[in-house]
Parts: sequence; structure tokens; C-alpha cells
Amino acid sequence: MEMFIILIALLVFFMLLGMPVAYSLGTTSIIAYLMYVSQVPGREFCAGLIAQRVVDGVNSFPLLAIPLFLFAGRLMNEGGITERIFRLANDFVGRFKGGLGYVNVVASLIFSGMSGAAVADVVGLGSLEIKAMRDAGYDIPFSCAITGASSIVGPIIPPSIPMLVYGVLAGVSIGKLFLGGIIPGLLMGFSLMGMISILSYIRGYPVGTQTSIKEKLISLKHALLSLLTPVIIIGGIWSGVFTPSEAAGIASVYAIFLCCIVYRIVNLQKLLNIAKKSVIDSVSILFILACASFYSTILTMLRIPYILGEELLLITADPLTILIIINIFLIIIGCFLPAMVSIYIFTPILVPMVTSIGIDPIFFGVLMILNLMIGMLTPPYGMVLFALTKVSDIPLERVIKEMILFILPLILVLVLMVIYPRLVTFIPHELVR
Amino acid sequence: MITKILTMVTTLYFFSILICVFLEVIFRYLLKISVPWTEEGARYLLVWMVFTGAIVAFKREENIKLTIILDKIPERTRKYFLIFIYLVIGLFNIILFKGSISMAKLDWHVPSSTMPGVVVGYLYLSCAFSCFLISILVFIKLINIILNSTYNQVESEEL
Repeated sequence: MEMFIILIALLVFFMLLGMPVAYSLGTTSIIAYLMYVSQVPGREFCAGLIAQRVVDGVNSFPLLAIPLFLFAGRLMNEGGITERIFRLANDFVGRFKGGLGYVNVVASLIFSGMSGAAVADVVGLGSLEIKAMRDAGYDIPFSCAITGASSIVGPIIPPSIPMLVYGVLAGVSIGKLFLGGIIPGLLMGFSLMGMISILSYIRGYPVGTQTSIKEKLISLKHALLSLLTPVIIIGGIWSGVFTPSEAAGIASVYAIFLCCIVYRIVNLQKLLNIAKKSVIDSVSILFILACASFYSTILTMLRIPYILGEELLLITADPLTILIIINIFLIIIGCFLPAMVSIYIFTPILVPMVTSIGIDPIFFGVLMILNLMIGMLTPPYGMVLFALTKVSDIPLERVIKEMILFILPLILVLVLMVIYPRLVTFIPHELVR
Repeated sequence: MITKILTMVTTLYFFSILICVFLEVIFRYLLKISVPWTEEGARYLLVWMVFTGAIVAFKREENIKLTIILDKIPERTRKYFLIFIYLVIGLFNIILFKGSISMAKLDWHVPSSTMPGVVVGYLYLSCAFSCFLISILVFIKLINIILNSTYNQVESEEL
């Protein structure tokens, strides 16, 4: 237990100092390793072990999906696909009271099926949505709050970068995690739309224009090829035709085909730039994972998840109570740490703990990611919140007030998931084999 | 200059990965041939991509970090913070370098399972290469910080 406290204290110290997360994890683990070696007789410090764990951490086929999905998502964001999807959503659900609010959520849901990151969705699709809502006379904080809240559906609905990282660290099937996110993701969409309808009714938001069937068909035709992307990804993984990495590869090739050859919006130079940016983004994610893999080895060596599990069992043995305790802990952590960083740090600690009391790691993964994603909407360190204020140019406080209204329905989904874990496990465990 | 070349190389690895993964699917479903090296090849390329990219990420200060405190402290104090951070990063890289060299030696004659002529040691070589260059960069950055009273290291180099 003392080792655990020292370990966490060191990690927090290095990270607060401003050291990159990857090096903080690596250095902390080396220090813990040194301490372990000095305490246990017959063990020697072996630098080779560190190298082996670090290299092994990224030598994995599922991880290939990270650069590929980031690339595909960015390409589609810049290649005009977002506009097509927005128009499609507008023609189909825009005619209600507060219509653009629904359009916002529906467009995000569709785009979630193509891209795996949340903040990227805010910058791409989000700026488009906020502009459209501003022009239509909606107040900006409301528009920002919807955009932010609906963007975190992105990492819940497959594909999802956080799920990939979680899956590799926890050693569970990425495909199953992806499928487990479908129902919670849709529920999030519906609960947000419910909130929009209540607010539109109270505040009297504008009614969108009704479009004719012909216009609907035209925008469907324009978006049809783009809509195939989520079908390929989710359908391919669901039916077992592709592994998630292969789905990512196919999605990338398809995105190149669409944006460069069919729509002709992205030329070779731009394609190269998009590739460079996605590669740098994915490297910074993967390099942390490399160091986190050594950190995870050290945790196991020190038997920390086991010791913590024992401590927790002293308090209660009821899985539901434990789950609630962990959830509250994660919500608090989520407010202070970026979601991805929390996944690196807490997955190797929490997953062995919860599996030992019989909680399904697939269910726990989806729950943990949703939980941490909500933290991205809250101050003081909400990445989505920051991205929103940058895109819309309005002060943080005004967005936060409005955001609270949209965090409530998301918390509702979280509570539902804790009560009915089958919402997550139904598709991956019962529907697919 | 070095950053540019390394970025190009990293992007090249990325496209090779894309081709490998795509070929795997094509071979399996369209041509019905099993080509085992695509999977392992893509993994080796990924390892090289990550460790080469890590050099670029370090040089361009693109590693994910929390700068809450670093942004708020006065410039003079920040200098000492940074010296400490870079010293630790340097030390980490030297240890990792030693480790990867010894692993590379150990696995230098262990052939990879599907690719003829490729040994497992190549994986560790990428890590050693990365640590070596990052250690040099740490050294340069340290000298820069100590010599310059103001720290404005973040280069606005075009990708």
C-alpha cells in the first residue's frame, strides 16, 4: 500500500511539473522498479526488461487502428464529408421546434460512426454546427453546450480511440468493446434530444423549414457514399468480416477514394499534410501507451491491483456498491485529468480489481470511458469545453452554465448503465455469438 | 531539417502500414490467399513509426503534458523546472537506450516468424535509435536553456 501511495505521488509530481505524460509514467515506473529490486532479495535491475515492455507495448496489431482511424477521421473532416452529413441531418430532422438542436445531435451520431476522437469532432463538425445555429438565431451558449455534449458520443460509438487504448491495456477484445458502445451511444443521443425538446418548448426556439421529399432525396444522394463509412466499419466488425484494425484500414482507403477521387476536394499535397498531422497525433498517443505498458508491468509486479482489491473488499463485497464507488471516483478524476491520461493510469489498476469481483471488463470499459468523457465537459480541465470556447469565441462561464443542463441526461445514461449492464453487454455477448 | 526528414520517414511508415493492412484484406477476401507477413510487417512498421515519431514529437514539444503550473510560474523559475524535466527525460532515455541495445543484441539472431531476413532485434533497434537521438536533443535543449535567459524553444517549423 505504501508503494502505491509513493507511486501515485511521484506520478502526480512529475505530471504537475509539466513533464510529458509518457515520460512521467516511464520515470515513475523505473523508480518503483528500483525500489522493488532493492527490497526483494535475489532480484536484479534489468534495463532490458524496460525496453522489452516498452517495445512490446506498441508491437500489437489492434493498435494499428489508432493512426488509421485518426487519419480517416481527419480526412473526412477536411474532405467535405461533414458538410454533406450536416445537410442530410438538417433536411430530415430540422423541421421541428428547436430543429437545429436535433440536427446537431444526429449529425454527431452519424459522424461518431466514422471518427474516433471527441475533441476533433468539436473542431470539425462543431464549428459548422455552431455557425449554422448562430445564423438561425439560437443563443450561442446553448449551441455550444449541445455541440460539446453530442461530441462525446464520438468515443462511445465505434470506432473509438479511447476504447482501443483501454482494450489493449486491459487485454480485452476491441471488437466487443466497440459493439458494446452502440446502445449506450444511441441512448446518449436520445437523452440529449429529450433535453433539447424540453428546452426548446420552454424557451421557444425557432422552427426549422420543412423540406420537400425531393430535397431530402437529393441530400441523401449527396451523402450516400459518406454514409457507407459507418456501415463498413460497424457492419464489418459486427459480422466478423474485419478485425477493427482492418476496418480502420478499409475506412482509410475508402476515405482517400471519396475525398480525393470522387469529391475531388483533397489534393495530394493536402492528403500528405493530413497524414503527417494524424501520424504525429497518433504517435503521441502510442508513445504514452508504450510507457504505460511498462508501468502496467510494474503495477502487477508490486501486486497493487490485488492489494487495492483486498482493501476495497474490506469496505464492501457488493459489486454494485463497488461500482458506484469507482464511478464517483472516476467522475472526480475526470474533472481534473484529460480522459486519455486517466485511461492510461487507471486501466491497469482498476480492471484486474473489478474482474476479480465478477464485473465484466467490456461493460466496465464502456462505463469508464463514458464517465471520463463527461469529465471533458466540466471545468477545470475540460478539453471539449476549451475547444468550444476557441471555436465560438464566447467566455467559458456562459458555456458552463448551459452545459450543466446537458450533462444531466448523460449522467442519466451512466446511471442506467450501472443498473442495467446488459445495455452494454447485450450486443457483444448475446447478439454476436 | 532533421525534423522534416524524420516526419517524412514517419509518414512513409504510416502509408506502408496502410498498404499492409489493405493488402491483408484484399488477399484474404478477393484473392483467397493467406499472406502471413502482412500482419507482422504492419506491426514492425508501427513500432518503427512510433519510435521515430517520438523523436519528432519531442523536438516539436508535441508530447501530451499538463502545463497548468508551468504556464503560471515566472520565467526565471520556469527555467529551473525545465532543466529538471529535461535532465529526468535524458536519464530515462539513457536507461531505455541501454536496455534496448542489450535486448537488440539478445534478439539479433532470432528470426521473425513470417518475414525472411528480418530479425526480432530490429524492433529494439528502433527504440535504441529513438532514445539515442532524443538524448542528443535533450542535451541541445539543456544547453539552449542554460545559455539563453529567456526560454522560447517551441519552434514554428512547418511540418
